[in-house]
Amino acid sequence: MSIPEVDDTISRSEPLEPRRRFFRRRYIDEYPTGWRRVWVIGLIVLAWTVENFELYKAGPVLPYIFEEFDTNLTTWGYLAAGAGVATMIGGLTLSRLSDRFGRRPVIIWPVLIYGIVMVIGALAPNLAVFSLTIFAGALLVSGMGPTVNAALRDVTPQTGRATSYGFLGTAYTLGALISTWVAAETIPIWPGFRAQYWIGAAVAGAIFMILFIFYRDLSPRIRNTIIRDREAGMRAAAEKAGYASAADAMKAGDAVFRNWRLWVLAGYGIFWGIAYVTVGNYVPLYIVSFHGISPASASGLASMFWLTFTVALVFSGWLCDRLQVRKVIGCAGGISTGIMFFVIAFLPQTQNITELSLIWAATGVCAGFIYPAQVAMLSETPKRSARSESPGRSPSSRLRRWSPQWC
Amino acid sequence: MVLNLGLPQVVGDGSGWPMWMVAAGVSCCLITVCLAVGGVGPWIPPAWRRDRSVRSIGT
Repeated sequence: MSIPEVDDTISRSEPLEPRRRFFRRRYIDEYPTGWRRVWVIGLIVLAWTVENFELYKAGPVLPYIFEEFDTNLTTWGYLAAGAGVATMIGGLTLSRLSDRFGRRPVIIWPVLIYGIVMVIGALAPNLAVFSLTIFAGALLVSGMGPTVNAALRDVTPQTGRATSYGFLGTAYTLGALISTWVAAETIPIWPGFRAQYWIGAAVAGAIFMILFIFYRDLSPRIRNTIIRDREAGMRAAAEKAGYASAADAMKAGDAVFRNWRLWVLAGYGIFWGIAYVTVGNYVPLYIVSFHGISPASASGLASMFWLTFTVALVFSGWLCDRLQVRKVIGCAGGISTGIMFFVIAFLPQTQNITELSLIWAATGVCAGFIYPAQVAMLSETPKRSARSESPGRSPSSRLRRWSPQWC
Repeated sequence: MVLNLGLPQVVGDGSGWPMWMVAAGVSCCLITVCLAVGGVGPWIPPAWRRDRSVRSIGT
């Protein structure tokens, strides 16, 4: 494999002071380690947090959107379903662009375009224009998703990658937490949905500037080195496992798709989607329309869920690794969250706001125990299934060999 | 799709919110079924199981 020359645009003839050299550099021409890696990962997580903040911004102000455009929940449901289709298209197209042109353009430019989309949303004269901003936003955010994951993978070695993905996972919830918290704080000052979109545009602009100035891709030379090392690693692993070539090992790996357990485990996504997106998109509206609470207070209530959910995510991930169990923790989370939803279903309309806060906070704690356990099991089930089918291994040796890992 | 197209039908004029919360609760119970049936791994911490084995040998 030929290694292209790195065009980092630094003039070799004149020595530059380190700060100027950093700003003129197009690529990171060494594999980031230590604090430099933390810095790059931090920028990626920041970008993803902001995009999720933008994504969940409509939830807290839905009552205002309905009022302003004289629409209803049914129409909004169709728009949200259309955004789902845009999500699919964005994921398929933008991820190809990131492979072709590098991660940087697909990470930083969608943030700027999203900012412009927010401005159009804030000025939207009718529902048709506003709908276009929803579709464009969904397309951009979902398109960034695979790229953000790929960028994170580029800069992290296998050891420690799980922790990095753990931080990326919290970006989803932090984005939702910030959107509800910002709405709770600013709606009393600027009522209506347009102010939230102006805030979203300002945040997107600021984050774009940070990413534009500081975020750099790995140079082609370093990326090629990583790919070469990975291919060599795959060949060595295949030989060690007794396969003639990496291709044979890959073919054997395809058997994982015939594993019924994996399909059942992955099927959880449908039910998780229903529960998770209900909270993300519709709970503020539910609190406003069912309990008759103001949109600002409803956003504050919803932010209680996201706050406890984020903390519980981190804690349950740690607990999963500490106790070396996933099933019981994930199942406990599922059952307890289900019970909390049943409790919420039977609450009277005149429920006290403090009690509502506590109930939604408790629901967040319970829900936080589902996701890390599920992700860990999804990654480990193929390995464990294969191991349990191999003869001549005692249960104790299986236990000793069991090495918990994330993702 | 299920959520965005289904929720407005269930909620209707607002009186169906409790019914949707029941649906979300049922979804969480089905999550539990998926994890319990699909996941491979111990139900109790391996360290606890080892402790129990050692205790049973001692008695």
